[in-house]
Amino acid sequence: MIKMINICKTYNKNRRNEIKVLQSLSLTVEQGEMIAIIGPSGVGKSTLLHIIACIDSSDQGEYWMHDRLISGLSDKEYSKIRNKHVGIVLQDFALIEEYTVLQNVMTPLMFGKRIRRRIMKERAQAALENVGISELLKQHVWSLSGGQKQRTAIARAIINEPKLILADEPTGALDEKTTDDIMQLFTKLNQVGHTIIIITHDPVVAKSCDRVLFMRDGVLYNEI
Amino acid sequence: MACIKIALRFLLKSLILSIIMMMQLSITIILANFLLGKYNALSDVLRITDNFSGYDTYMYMPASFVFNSDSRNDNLEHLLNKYKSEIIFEQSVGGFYQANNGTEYEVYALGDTTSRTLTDSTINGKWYADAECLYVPCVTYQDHDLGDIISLVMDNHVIEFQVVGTVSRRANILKFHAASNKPVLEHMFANNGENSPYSLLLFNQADIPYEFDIIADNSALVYFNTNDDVIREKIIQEFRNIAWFVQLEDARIESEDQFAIHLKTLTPMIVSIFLVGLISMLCLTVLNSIRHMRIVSIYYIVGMSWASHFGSFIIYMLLQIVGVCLLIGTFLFFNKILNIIPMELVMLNESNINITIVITIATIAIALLAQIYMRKKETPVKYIKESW
Ligand SMILES: Nc1ncnc2c1ncn2[C@@H]1O[C@H](COP(=O)(O)OP(=O)(O)OP(=O)(O)O)[C@@H](O)[C@H]1O
Ligand SMILES: [Mg+2]
Repeated sequence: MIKMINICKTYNKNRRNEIKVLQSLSLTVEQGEMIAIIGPSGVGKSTLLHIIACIDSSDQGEYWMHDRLISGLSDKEYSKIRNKHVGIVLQDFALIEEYTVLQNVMTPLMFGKRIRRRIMKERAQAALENVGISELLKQHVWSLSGGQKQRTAIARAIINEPKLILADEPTGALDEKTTDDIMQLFTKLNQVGHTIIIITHDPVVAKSCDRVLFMRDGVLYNEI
Repeated sequence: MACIKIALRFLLKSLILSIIMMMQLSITIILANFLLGKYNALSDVLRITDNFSGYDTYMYMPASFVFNSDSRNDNLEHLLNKYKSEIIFEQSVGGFYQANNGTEYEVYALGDTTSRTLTDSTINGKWYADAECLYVPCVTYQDHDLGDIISLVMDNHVIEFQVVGTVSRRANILKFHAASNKPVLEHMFANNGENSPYSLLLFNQADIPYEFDIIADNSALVYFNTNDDVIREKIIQEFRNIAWFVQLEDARIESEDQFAIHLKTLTPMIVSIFLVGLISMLCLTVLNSIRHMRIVSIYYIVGMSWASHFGSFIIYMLLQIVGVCLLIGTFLFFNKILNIIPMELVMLNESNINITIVITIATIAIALLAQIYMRKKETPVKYIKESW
């Protein structure tokens, strides 16, 4: 499903503070996998995730998704992929606090094909049911607990039914109990067919994944 | 579609900031136009003197302001009789009359030489031309067609005028500044200007067969038709003994000086209003884009492209321009009723359109550049990396 070949990413290129983050990194992800990426802080995990998510682009290398070459596509194509083909979940949720849960979950629908508001609502409700917080839809995000916020973010990530879900330390801001719940949710989503890549520091989280990759010196190693 | 929605959300999210931005642009535009309008009105008086450049023209104003053609003082009559062949003395007379159809006219009868010399740019017909016989040719203000007949009862005579020319604005007729001790020129219609409820009607005194005898203007124009410098000096001296008597050219120079003083105070005002406007627009835009950065980044994550992000910003700007137009419209409406900024002696012309365009474009350009700079400096990608 994903094939990355010799991906390189350097920050502040040709300046004194140049940082080579990814150095000829290669990665293959099959459909239906649930992968954890671990590694020391500042090694470039988030950078890799942003490249996979089409938030950022690599300097060199090839990135294929569903046999389509992603590297070098336009801003518009990138935004389409972010909108339709990947769901992104971040540590601090990246929700609009003053909006309701429903409004937040519906935001991706603003940028896709035009659909009726009624259908938008139905789809948002379905996504919220999927993550188990359908009763909260009218609540404002600021009034939610951390776990509820993360569920809202996950609902937003799956509303367009992307094959791929990317999560950058999704449990980093949550307690143990909530972490368990969220991981169960990810496992459930994985079982219904979503491919999931999770970046984490938490060994418990890594354990519940099929495959664990360890990142060091800008490349990935298989964890045995 | 998404762009419009996002633009509206931005507008609503920072409604107060947006309103401040719109108010500040509106105030800049209104004040700049007001000041420029004053400037226009001042400079327009000087423009009219160009007509007289080929004539040996003097301005006369009696030392006492209470003056009527009935009570012309004996000294003046004496001088006029004495120098009948050397000078032409012309005093405009005027009054207010109602036509059959109810329209009220402010009528000015100009002296023969004056009416031929004082040509103003007409939008239709000529400043002064022949009418069909029976009719008195006249020049009117805007809302008349060439050939229209206007009949007025003046001094128990019915006089039928025919419109031979229309002017786009109230004409300037030269006179002294009534309250100045310097020979400064001013508008004849200084007190009611463009907003006068009266329509204007100008004609040549020589075109009606009897002495038209109502209110005479204070000042008069005197044309010399002698080449004898000694006599000329003598006449000037004698006139100066009974009244202010100034060569038109001197009055013009004096007016220009006064005008330059006005300009000296107006220019810094316009420029500083403009600069303050630009700087505050700059700050507000930066503030606004910082405020919006979080939402923009979230939209970016869920699929907004850079292009539609920028598009939404442009629409946001356009919405603000619409807001500015509404604000200015509202202001003009209330200004008519409440007279917040008095519009007398304010002349609006093409330069006002130009300055409005310049201010608007400069402000938009500044906002746009600030926005582009901010977006380059702090892209959603950067924001995402730093924040989440
Ligand atoms: N926009 C940027 N400009 C310059 N350097 C950056 C930028 N983003 C990240 N870096 C640097 O790149 C390196 C990798 O960053 P990244 O966020 O990918 O690490 P990480 O593995 O996710 O770390 P953490 O576990 O702390 O989240 C770090 O040294 C970071 O300082
Ligand atoms: Mg990270």
